[in-house]
Amino acid sequence: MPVVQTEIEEPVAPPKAVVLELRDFTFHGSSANAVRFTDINLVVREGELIVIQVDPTFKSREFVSVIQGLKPANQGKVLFQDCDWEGNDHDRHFRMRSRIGRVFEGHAWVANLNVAENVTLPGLHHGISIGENAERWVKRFGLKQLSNKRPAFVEPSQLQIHQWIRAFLGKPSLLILEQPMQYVAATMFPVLAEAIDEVRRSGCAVLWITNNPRFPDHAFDPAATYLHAESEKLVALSKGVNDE
Amino acid sequence: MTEALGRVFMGRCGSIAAILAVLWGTAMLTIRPSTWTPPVRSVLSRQLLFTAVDGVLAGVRFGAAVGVLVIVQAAIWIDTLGVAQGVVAPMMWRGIVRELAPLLACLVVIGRSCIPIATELATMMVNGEVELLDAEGVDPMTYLVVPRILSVVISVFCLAIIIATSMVATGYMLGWAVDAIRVDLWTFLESIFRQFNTRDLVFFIPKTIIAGAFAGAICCIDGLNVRGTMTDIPRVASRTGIRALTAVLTISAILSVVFYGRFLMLKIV
Repeated sequence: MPVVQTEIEEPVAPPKAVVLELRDFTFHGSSANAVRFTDINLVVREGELIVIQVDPTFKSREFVSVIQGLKPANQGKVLFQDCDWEGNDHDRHFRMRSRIGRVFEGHAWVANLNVAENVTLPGLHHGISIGENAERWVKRFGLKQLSNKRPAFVEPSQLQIHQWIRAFLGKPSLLILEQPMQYVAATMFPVLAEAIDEVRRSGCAVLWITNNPRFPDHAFDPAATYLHAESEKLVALSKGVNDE
Repeated sequence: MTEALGRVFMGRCGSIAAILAVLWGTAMLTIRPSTWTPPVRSVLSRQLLFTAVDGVLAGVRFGAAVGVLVIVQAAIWIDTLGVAQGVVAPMMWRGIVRELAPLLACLVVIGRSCIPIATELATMMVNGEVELLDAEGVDPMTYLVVPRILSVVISVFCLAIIIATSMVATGYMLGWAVDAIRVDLWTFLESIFRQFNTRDLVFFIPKTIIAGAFAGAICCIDGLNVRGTMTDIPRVASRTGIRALTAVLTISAILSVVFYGRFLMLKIV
């Protein structure tokens, strides 16, 4: 019998699914200090971490609200998991937003609920089991328990860590972190970075927006992509934000 | 002049359309089981506690005070017209159930709850808390508006019953004390229940529910329509109070005309 020799090819891994895409995107914001972009393209895939550095004078809240479909872009498209934010199908939009975890820059709390209620509200509303999951993140970020005080009576660093827990709690597909280290001791950076790497390994895409020019040099695993917002464009930074 | 009048008219039509749209949305969301998540149920129960339960004492006080006014007026008219005392109970019952109790309940709820609801929602709007809920995928209509409108509707209905009871009780006690009512309590109550017919129920339920729904919708719309800073909130609160009162009085008047007009016509025919 003739022997047929075949060459076994290394299987090529299919490209990971796109979680967030900004296509020909232009946004100028309503306030003078809103971060602005003109005609940019950005693709964030499952498991990727994109760090965007903005100048300290600029605020990213409006830009992130556009990503979440809360405000319209001036031009172009925002796609989350291949779905846009257009039309009046509000139920679909709310379901899409329930898959996005976000650490907000600025006011991030419903004042008449306590912090624990604030943290668990999105999960409970979307029917996500949060009991053990909340306990895990509380321990991981070094808290004893979720605070039962109103947000006005909790110190900013603790509030910020509660924001981290809220963002991670819903098992998001996309995590948007706006200045997550604001008010928090630098010693907490590795804890947050490890948590981010863990959720990335399970497929979560992460967009980290920072105005810190000395972004800590951390070996994210898998490696992160660093971009700088300048002249209304996104410019790639070769070795990281701090190497600028 | 004509243009200005037209603008005002179109503005009013727009306001009414917005209120009806919010009420329609509320009704649709109320019957949808997925609306009633634990946080929404929690907001409804808190709001009911604040609007209905905490308002009971105020309702009883208002009812008692107006009950006294009614019986004093009844005594005066009995003397003036020389009518029999048996007329007092039905007159009280009709006046209270058809007009006074629903109106007083609306006044209590608007004063105690509607203005605070508008203020609370306006503050949440200005502070970015509504955007926060939206960003978390929590529909502000489901989480903020539906439980508040429902609680106002339920509260107006329940408080109207409590106020009516308080007015009748006070009216009887005072009437008995000043010798305007000479029958015992059971006879008095029996004469009242004899007056009760489905027409009263048909009038009482829509009057409380429609007026309450409009008051609740107006305070939510005004609260969430605020654009600006904290300094705009007191203006929103006072405007809401006036708008809600105007709506309640207008609805009461329209319903009275519709019901009485129709019955009168049938009687003539």
